[in-house]
Amino acid sequence: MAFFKPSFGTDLRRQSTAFFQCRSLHSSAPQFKSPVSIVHPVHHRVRYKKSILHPKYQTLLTIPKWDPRSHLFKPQAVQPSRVKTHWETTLAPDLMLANYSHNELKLRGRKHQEWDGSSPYHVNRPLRSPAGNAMATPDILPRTFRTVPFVTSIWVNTFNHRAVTEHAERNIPSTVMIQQITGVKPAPAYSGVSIMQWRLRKERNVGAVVEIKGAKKDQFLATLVEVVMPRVKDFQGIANSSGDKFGNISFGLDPEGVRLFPEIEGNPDLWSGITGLNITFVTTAQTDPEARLLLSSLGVPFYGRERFHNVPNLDGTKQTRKKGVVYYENSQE
Amino acid sequence: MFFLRRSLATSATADALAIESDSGSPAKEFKIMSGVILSRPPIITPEQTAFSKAYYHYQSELYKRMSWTFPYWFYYPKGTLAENEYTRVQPKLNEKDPDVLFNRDRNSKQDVVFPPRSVQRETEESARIYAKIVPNPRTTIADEENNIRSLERKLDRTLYLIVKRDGESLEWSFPATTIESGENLESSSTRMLAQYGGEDMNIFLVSGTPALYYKDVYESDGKYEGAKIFYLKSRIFNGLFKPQKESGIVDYAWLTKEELSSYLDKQYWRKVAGALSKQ
Repeated sequence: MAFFKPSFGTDLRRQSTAFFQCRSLHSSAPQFKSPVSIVHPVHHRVRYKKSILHPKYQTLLTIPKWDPRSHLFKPQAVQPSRVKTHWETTLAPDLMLANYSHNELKLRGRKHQEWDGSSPYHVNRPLRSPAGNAMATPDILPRTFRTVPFVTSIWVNTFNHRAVTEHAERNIPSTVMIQQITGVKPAPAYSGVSIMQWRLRKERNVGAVVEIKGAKKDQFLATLVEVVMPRVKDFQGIANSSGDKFGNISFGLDPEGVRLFPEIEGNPDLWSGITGLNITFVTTAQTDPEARLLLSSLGVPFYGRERFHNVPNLDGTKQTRKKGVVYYENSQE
Repeated sequence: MFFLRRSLATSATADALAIESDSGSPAKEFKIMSGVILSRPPIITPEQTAFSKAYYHYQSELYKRMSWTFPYWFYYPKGTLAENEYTRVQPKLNEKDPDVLFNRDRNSKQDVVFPPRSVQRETEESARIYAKIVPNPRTTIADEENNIRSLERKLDRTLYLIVKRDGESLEWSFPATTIESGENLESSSTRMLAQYGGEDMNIFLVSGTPALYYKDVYESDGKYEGAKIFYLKSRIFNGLFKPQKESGIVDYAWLTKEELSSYLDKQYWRKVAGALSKQ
């Protein structure tokens, strides 16, 4: 029998799916069996580190990461956060009042639908897709003190085209660059699609990606708003058309803008082939205008026409519904 | 933000809320007024408590102890003058029992010492940028003089504007005015602020929704039974409140929440306190 290297990626998932799909009494059943099993009787077809199950390692496995006794513990709160304090003392009460409206009700989003039961085959069938074949959308809850938006995390990623055309090693400076700017170790980013014109193939390492949280996120936001954005040439701000309709706003910085980060600017000779960044603010805001209100109160500039959606409609404005999002006709310019 | 919506309060006009009297006497009504809670948000972060200071100190020392070694070879490449300068200023390792890896004693915390910038390479601009940053003091002249009319005091607190007008009762309160015909809450409050304090203030109305409602009952008034005041929240960015001659403003003050409690009437304070920021 062929020896399988332990791969916990797509292969394992494919094989275990196949295992459920085929009949186990079939002669080819063993080859579809999951390579790892922890249910008795255990016959692994891959090497499995049983030693980690030894009782002496149990304390290591059970102590959580935040506990100073854990070998993974890393002190996080080394200084109070200026951004967080500002949000707590000034922004949160203002945002709650600005977003609030009387007699607001829950606005139900698109959901998966029940079958009507007209056919016996409807029993145990997966639910029907939402109306219009669109994605399911979350409910919009009334704006109260429980739904005051804040920035949960910031995603930063870069795409290095030279890693495609020249060599995958070109990713190394891009990865280090993101690590320098954010202070968090990035993960390699892989292309999701093949584009023949760019000579790009699917699942190739083409850049780096990182999610910043906690104190490092606040530090990054403050640097971006106070040091970088004011000095980017011809920078109008983030376009109001940006956003995924559910409170997450993205924008791009070109290489010239990235050079303005103090970590790069302080030592420009060290860096060659700087690439641009894609930055996404992940917020708990329920709609994009709310997220923009939050970000602009933190100092991020915006430009363009504002288009409100999923706002409680109290004065009978004409509304249209598109892909689970309610739009209003007389939006502000 | 959502000004396209009409808030409920703005539809009320001065003569809308007439109250029928049970005894058949001529009906009295409440005067509808709009007010503004004008505030200056905190400019600096609050002073840390002794416990908070000790906590962050402990965490940062722990961080220095457990953090990765500073990759000096990346910033000061091997064989360069810069590397010489860097190694020259590093503190000596513990002589007794050092556990050294990459020039770092792993038994102690890591304090990265950078070499001073060479004077020859210094230009006027770089000298300005790299000059040692000296923060301004947390207290100002206005704090020392206890000048309650200045906006430059209590930098880590929210300051609220209260005024004293010559009228029936000479008492401190948030500025308020009667809504005139054709006005809504927002327009009447912006009109009032310009009328009372001049045009120099840069003011931002947080929302068209009132942050506070106060019902004032008059004891002896022929026409009105009392006043219903809807307060909007607003922030001052820059400029000064300068009392205008014909506005009838006798005195004004910028005060924190605790200070307000001693200035305001007890009953008024009890209603108002919940709408004010703790910090």
